[in-house]
Amino acid sequence: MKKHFDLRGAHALLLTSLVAAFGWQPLRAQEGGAQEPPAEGQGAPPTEDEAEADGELVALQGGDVYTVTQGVLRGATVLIRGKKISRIGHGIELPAGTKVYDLSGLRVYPGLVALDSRGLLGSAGKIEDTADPFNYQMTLGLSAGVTSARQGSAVVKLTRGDLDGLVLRDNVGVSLTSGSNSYGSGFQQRESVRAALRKAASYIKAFDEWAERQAKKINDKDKPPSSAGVNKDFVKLLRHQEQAFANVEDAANLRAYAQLAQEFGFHLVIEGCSEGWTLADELGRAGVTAVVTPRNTFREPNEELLRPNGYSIENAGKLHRAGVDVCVAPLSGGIGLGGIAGRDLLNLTMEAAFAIRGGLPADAALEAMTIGAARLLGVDERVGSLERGKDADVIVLDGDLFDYRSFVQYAFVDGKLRYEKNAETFFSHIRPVERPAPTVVEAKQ
Amino acid sequence: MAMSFRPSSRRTSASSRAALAALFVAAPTGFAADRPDDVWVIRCGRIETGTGEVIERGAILVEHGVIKAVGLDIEAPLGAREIDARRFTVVPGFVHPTSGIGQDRQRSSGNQAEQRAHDSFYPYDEAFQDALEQGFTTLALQPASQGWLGIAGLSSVVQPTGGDGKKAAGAAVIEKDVQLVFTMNSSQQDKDLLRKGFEKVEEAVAKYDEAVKKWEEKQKKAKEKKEEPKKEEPKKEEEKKEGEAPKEEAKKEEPKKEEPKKEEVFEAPKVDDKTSTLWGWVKGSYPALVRMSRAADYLHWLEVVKERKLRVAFELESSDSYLVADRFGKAGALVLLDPQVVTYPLTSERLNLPAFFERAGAKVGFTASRRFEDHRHRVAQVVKAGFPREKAIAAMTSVPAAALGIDDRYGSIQPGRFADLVFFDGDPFEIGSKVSSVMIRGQMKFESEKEAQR
Repeated sequence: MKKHFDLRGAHALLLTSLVAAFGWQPLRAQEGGAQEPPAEGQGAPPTEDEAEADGELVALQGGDVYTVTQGVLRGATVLIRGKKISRIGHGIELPAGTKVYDLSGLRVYPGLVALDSRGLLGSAGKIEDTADPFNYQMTLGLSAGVTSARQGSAVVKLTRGDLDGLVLRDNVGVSLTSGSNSYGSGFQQRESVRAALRKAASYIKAFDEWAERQAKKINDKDKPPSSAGVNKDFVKLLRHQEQAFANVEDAANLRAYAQLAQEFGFHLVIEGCSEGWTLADELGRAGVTAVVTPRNTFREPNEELLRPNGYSIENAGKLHRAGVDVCVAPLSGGIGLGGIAGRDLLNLTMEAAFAIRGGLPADAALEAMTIGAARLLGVDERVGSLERGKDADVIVLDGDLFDYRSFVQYAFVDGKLRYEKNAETFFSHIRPVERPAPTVVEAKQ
Repeated sequence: MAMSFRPSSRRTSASSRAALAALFVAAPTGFAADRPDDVWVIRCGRIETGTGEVIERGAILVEHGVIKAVGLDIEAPLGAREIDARRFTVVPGFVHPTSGIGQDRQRSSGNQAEQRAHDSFYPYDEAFQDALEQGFTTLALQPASQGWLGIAGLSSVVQPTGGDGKKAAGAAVIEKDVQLVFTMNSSQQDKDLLRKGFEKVEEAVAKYDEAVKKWEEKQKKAKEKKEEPKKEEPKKEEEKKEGEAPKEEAKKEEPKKEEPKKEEVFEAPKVDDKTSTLWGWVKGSYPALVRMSRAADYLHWLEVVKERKLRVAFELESSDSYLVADRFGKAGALVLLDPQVVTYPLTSERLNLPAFFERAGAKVGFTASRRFEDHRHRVAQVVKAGFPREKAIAAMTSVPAAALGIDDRYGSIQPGRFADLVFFDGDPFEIGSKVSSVMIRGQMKFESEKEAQR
């Protein structure tokens, strides 16, 4: 780690000497002197910024910045350096050469995280070798505000035009409703899953005890416990390295899955969860996260049943009040311009708006599509909120995120402009407003 | 059937023949038989050299099939014949860089790097005469491949032979193994083919270097034993490293002088045909034509190629390839495109793809279809829609020749190039203009007036 900093120091030194060689020294010194004090806002000590003085500078200036994790900063500036957010706040002094987008009157949000997507990469197969980052569906995804998305078992970023940085991570989650680890609904299947979980748990216990003995060096010939027949996915689950995903709709199965999660102490993500509102308290106690689709009305209430059942628009709100983390997914993860149009990924924000309509607080709905979803996919270190040091995945809208009239005007991914409404054919003709071209900060005389 | 010679090797003999001819013509007798019958001065109305240059009322000096000089003041050597072509616009013969005409092999897919197009050449395809009559003098002979998949193999170059009453029209292979052809799709299969190819080449190079090192050490020991001053040998060996597989003949000569033992001959480690083909490309013996159908293919290509410096030209399908035009432009890449105005994907907005790439800074050449009579007019449409006229002839001649790696001998009217010339009775892009005659290597292979008389 120390070495790393040394290198950075050397880098800065080189840069300074270069600057000196070109006679910019006085200018640079002046700028350094005028740098914002670290006390203000999220401003950072200037030295660190100097250290990572590479990458293009882009400033998103004057918009209302919805950071998600740190409230709303009206008329603030987001300064992007290279692929990362360098600073957020008011009165940030912009270095010469910064490209400035005047966003006054617009709203700035972190790019949305889609929990499921299809077709955004225009291809199937090994993502690194087949992805088409020029695919129009990716452009449409960006137009919907989505900058990161789960695709199969990977999480990808919509780095339009680049393969670099496309794959954020791979092998997300452990499915409990499909594949070999399915908990299913039959007695035998369930017993075998529970047996496997128990085996994994005892393996972990044995392994940890062995590791402890090793640390104390009690016995040299002590061997680690055999991992033969132990389900590695379950080990990850029980060690909280992965989360379990299950697609469950009805109350009986919801209860069964929640009990399983509670019994073995792993984190469960329930997709669907139509009848979740009928047992919200139980789900809350089990600490599950629900991925709901508020406009999914497929599960009609059955009048013959005595208990409450069927879908409810209040689902998200009730779950949220019961302590269940709520995320939102549209009915289809693809970009649908045909049959399912209006309830596809293009309308992710509308899905969340319906959750708000049913009682979910607006800030929870915003979290549901950003930091909440990022947490589920294990990428919240990088994306999901506007914070210093996080990936510069930013969307800019001309109105509230949940307003049906709002359009994404700009979408930045990894600090690069990847989508501009006025420049793409898809929506540029709808309520066109000319946006000022970005300006470049000139060097001070 | 197939002849393969280069001007450089031929010129030496040509110059000696010229000297001989000069002796004969020293005292002009007036008899045609005494003149060297393949030294010509062609007086032209207008010359478009195929490099962007236009010479009005210039002349071309052709000796033994090779252009010697081009310009305004060309002095005819003694006894040279003159052709009065002042009615005509003269351009280099057109080059078709992606032709598969005359390819008689069954199509196949996957890694067919060992495939050599001339091995299955059928010379009597009627299309060759059509091509000739429309001013095409040089055509690639691409190896057969199943659609655009995998590594197809090595291309050759053919030229139409023309025909007369006795001889059937067709074409002859004139250059073998000029270019490697393969397809780069955004697919794991294509990427793996290349990755593994590179790996194998690197392995082969390492093996070869090791063998050379061992051999050198052996020689050194032998030398120390004999204590004979033999300094040149190791040096020459280094030079041989450049050669794909050092020829044994060259080696034999050296040891013969001092020690007649045959054991001392260096034996290069064996390399399979597929790898040696790729090796030839990697070390720059010939360029490759990389066929791509989408913009993303270029990104995947870069991902596989990384920092390697390779000789390549790209053949692109229209699709969304305009999205990476700036990247091709920055790299100054050579791009072969269909001469047509297309539309942006998902719209009916017109996009002049060749002009777009040209503006971005790429070198643009045109591919041709089998309908040769349309070719000029298709290019004319692209010019009408904004492709620079001064680059249009080059895009049909010298640029495609460069894609094939043969532009030092073909594709332009410059000294040292073969005299492959097309005589038009007007601007080649005017609808009414016709090909009057076509010269290949200094010989008239097609004359429309003669055709009319026949």
